[in-house]
Amino acid sequence: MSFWREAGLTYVQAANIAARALRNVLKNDVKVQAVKREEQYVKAALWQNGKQGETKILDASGNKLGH
Amino acid sequence: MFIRSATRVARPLARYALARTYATEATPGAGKLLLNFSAPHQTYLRNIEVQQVNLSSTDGDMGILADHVPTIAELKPGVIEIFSSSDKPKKFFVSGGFASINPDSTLNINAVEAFALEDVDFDAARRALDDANRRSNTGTDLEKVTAKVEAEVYEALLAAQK
Repeated sequence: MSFWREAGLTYVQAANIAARALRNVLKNDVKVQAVKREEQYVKAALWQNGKQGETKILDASGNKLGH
Repeated sequence: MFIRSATRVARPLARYALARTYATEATPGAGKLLLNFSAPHQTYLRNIEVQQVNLSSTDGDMGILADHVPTIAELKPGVIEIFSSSDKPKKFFVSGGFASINPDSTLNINAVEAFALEDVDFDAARRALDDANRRSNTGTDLEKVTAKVEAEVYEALLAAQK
């Protein structure tokens, strides 16, 4: 069993950490594009009576731990 | 470690040699290895005919030719080398992912991130390795294992530079 799974990480978590590590050491021109892929978040708004409510960003950490 | 990976490579080839079939039963794509290579955000190669692909899996390094035994391999951070008869060899560094070798001699490689070695800043990688090694001994268990996963990537990168 791999060391990261023994430590309690899932495959996706470990794969995302490794991917982020690689993006971090790219040359600047490619890095700019690659780092944009890193941060993902969900915007949600509740619609009531045909009107859009307030928009909220869920998980504002930007998925930093890669979960 | 080396002996272990050597046997892992040898075993699929030995099994292939034993599986004798009539020529008419050969798969349609016999003798050709078709490669698809993609990441979630980009397709690098689609249906390219290649001679051989070398990759490092968690079970050891593999060299894949046409008519390889069907397998799924988990990729380690490392270099993927692609040899074709018509083009010069291509090299990518992948952070991880999976390679599946199908019975019809198609090879699908799905990587999380893949870059040419020219795109990597090796000085930054060296600094990042030192930093990750330092962090692998301090902090919470989560921080330690995160640093270890990072160090594995940087070690593979620096090994690929040589």
